[in-house]
Amino acid sequence: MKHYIWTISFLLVFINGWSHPITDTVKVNQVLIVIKSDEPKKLNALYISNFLKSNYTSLSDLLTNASTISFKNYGAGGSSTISFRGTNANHTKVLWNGLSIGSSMLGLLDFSTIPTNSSDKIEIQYGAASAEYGSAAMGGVILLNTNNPFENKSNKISFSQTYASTDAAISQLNVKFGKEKIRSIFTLNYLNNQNHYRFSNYTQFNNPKQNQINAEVKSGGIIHQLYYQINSRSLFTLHSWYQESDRNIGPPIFNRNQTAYQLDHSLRNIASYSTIKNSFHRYKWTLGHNREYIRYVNRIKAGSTNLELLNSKSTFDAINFEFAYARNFVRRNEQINLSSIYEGASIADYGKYQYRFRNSLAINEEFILKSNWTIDFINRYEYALRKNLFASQISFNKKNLLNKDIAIGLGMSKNYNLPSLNDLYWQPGGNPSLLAEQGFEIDLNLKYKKNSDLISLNTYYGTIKNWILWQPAAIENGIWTPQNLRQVNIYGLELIATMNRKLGEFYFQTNYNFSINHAINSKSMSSNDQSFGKQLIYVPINKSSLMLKLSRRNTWFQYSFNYNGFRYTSSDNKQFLPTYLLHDIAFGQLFLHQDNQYQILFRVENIGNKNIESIPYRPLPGRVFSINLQLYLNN
Amino acid sequence: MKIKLRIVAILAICLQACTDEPTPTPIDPNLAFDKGVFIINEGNFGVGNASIDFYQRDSNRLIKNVFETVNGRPLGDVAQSMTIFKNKGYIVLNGSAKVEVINAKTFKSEASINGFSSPRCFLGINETRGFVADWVSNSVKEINLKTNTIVASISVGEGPEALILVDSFLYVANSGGYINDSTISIININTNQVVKNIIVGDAPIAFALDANNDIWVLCRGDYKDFGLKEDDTKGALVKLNKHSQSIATKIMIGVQGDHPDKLAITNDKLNLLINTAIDGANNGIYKVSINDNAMPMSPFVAGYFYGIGIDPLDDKIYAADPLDFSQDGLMWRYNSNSGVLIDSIRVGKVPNGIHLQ
Repeated sequence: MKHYIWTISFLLVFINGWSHPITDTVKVNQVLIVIKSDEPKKLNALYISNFLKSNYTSLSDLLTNASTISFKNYGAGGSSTISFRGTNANHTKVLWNGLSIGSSMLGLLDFSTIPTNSSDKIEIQYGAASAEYGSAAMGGVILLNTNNPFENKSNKISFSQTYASTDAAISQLNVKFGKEKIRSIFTLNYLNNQNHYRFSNYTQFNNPKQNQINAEVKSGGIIHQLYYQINSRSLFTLHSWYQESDRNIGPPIFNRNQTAYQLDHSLRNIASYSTIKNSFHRYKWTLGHNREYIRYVNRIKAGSTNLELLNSKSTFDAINFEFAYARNFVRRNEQINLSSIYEGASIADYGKYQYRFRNSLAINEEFILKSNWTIDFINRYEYALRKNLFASQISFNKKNLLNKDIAIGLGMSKNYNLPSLNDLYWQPGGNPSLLAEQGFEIDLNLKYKKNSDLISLNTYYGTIKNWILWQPAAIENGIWTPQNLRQVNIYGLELIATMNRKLGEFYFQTNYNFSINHAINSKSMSSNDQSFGKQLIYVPINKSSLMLKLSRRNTWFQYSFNYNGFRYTSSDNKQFLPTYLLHDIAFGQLFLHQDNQYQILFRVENIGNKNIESIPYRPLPGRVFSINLQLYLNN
Repeated sequence: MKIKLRIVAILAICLQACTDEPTPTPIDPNLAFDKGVFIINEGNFGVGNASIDFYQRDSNRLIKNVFETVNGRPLGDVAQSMTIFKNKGYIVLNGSAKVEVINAKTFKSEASINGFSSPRCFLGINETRGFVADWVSNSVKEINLKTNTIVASISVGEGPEALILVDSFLYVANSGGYINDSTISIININTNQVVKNIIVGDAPIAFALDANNDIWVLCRGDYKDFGLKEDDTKGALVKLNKHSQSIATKIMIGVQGDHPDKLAITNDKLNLLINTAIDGANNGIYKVSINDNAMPMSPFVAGYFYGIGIDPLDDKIYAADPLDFSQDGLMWRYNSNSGVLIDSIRVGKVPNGIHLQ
């Protein structure tokens, strides 16, 4: 109940108090606060604003606190997987400068290993978009993109250093430099988090307070991006990213003698060449490679000895070649994409090296009609796993509705998701005859945008058939096998509001996210199946978050809350993890010296010091204090 | 515009209030645990949702999750088995690597025994001595039942899964663990020494003692490469002569890939019940007389089951059905003479067996 009051008071105060929306760029006593008014072309897409992004160092923390998307967080040192619009972790596609960075072996991406400084711009596309992005884009798409450095040619260094009370040190460095025709971006990230915090262990007598153990995380990465302007019509780019993480995964509190260790190496390389001919023909060739190496060891301490329960190593490689052609007419835009993907994985559990080829063709036609209407058709054909797969999408959009600031869009799409290599080839149980999951979705989007204010409301209804579920093949032999068993209906809405106001010397920025996501199991396995008609596990029906920043001259105060509704943990919806509401506060001060900026920030997360879990028996930290220093050096 | 924004705000608030958290089941403070059936729900591995349910025969009432209800803390991860011995219950939790000791009348927790790798079952000897088979550490641990601590460790074969005591010999089924084993280790409990290893068949996993005091061993057969049925070895039912401690009878079960995995014996100790597939299909509970030399052609009770047990009072067969492993499972009850279905009880997550009080 409390969180409604917070929401009400903040929203109402805003709406009533300051009726003068600020224009795109304001100067508050010399501090240039740039409110970028640029927005994605699509109605169902949004950028994460910089004032949100600068508060978080990992993508999972950022999206948990500043979007409608929910995450399953496996506790200290554990992975963090996405659930977008009630779908599974394998139903969201994540692209870094156009390259898919999830592993098709596991079918997912661990968002805790993605630092926020790996991209300049984070775009969230709500809803299914297989026709445009191919397999896996069932819940939505997250685009991590670098800004074209030729658009802002100044040389810059930005550095951020954070220390947190869990004994964590996080460093992020970005260097942008270059000349007229060639520019480079270097990015480094380093994290060392000992995950020292206390929690009450409610699985033991008298709820003893215990220290988190064996949950130390170290990770580091280097990114180099090169942009070469060959001539006024042609651009060559090279993106390379190596990320490593070396971590102990904290034990479940019911057995603190379990230790798990994971080592991840990720290498992503993209080379692309794009050119424009005859002013309206655009061509782009891209070659990408993504490698994910994971070593996982699980041990148990019995008396004085450590016994190994599991020790696995896996390497996944994807090589992606893509050709895109686009041309723009006055009232028509056309794009053709051809792509060939090779995916291969090596792990002892497969018995042998397994690989697959995927070839696809996508055609996009957009018609710009009268009175601000546009119609967009996208069709994709993919040949994979000896099957023909089709995805298509049609959307109708109208801008300048009623007054000039509202746009409305209606979209319908048919989508698919290929089984992961583990689903197909894992031994025992892997099922090579699995079919792709098939989805259908209808989306209605409404967007109000005026100056720097934005309100976006999306509603959706969808169904996913042939949903892959691992179940025992025959109960008594203990072997589980994936089958196209389930059908899931999803429906819900998302509301995202950003408002900025100026009152005298005060400047307010706010971002509010709210979502309802129903994901209902719509196929009964048997007459005794009590999961029929029930919400999928770990999908919160309600989620909301608010961030409010109040600045005066070079000083600011920030408050945010993150409300995460209860999540069922059993398919019959009899067991659940309770709702939690966390409050964070921060104070910051900015110092200016010539063209350079220095910033210091103090922050308290989870000020109520609540015990929370995203997965049962995997406690997350209570109250955490942190200090952050940032410097921005120009030229 | 103000009005529009206000509408959005009000809408957001209304929507936010629309879904209420489910209310937890209230706790009955006057629970008593006599004359009933304890149902062991192992839960999901690594998820820590094991539970014990108590079924009162007279009132036909099921009390769910009794350990947590009485003790105010969750039971743990993967309840492998429960044994009542000298008025105490020993709940063996494989994933939590512990044995919870409870008062069998009140279900109040008395101790947690730690120091195992992955304990599978408990067997009591007398007031002070008990043994636990510990799967990953390839050993049998002796427990001092006064202090509830491990006092000795006896190395046996790979993956000890089941224990049975005949005279002063403890028989240990070495199920193979991560590799394969086909032996029974016999421990003299007076000396805690392994006195003999008998080869019975691949992956011995369960015991039963019949009316003639002969020991029956169920062997699951080895999977080898999990992806290939052709390299599997067949399951078997083996009778041991307790005097010579050697094989008296061996009945092969089905074909490669069938893998029987549960064994129970009727209250008259004359018939064995085996949960298996036969010829790659026909899953169910097969009834074999202790005098038979071959498996029957068709199951006594057809179905996929995760555990079987027999009520010593009313002779009903309990057959556990975990459904999708993520919702509350079912305990099907059958007449042990006719194999006819009587009813079913909705129990906890992933039921695997029963223990009688």
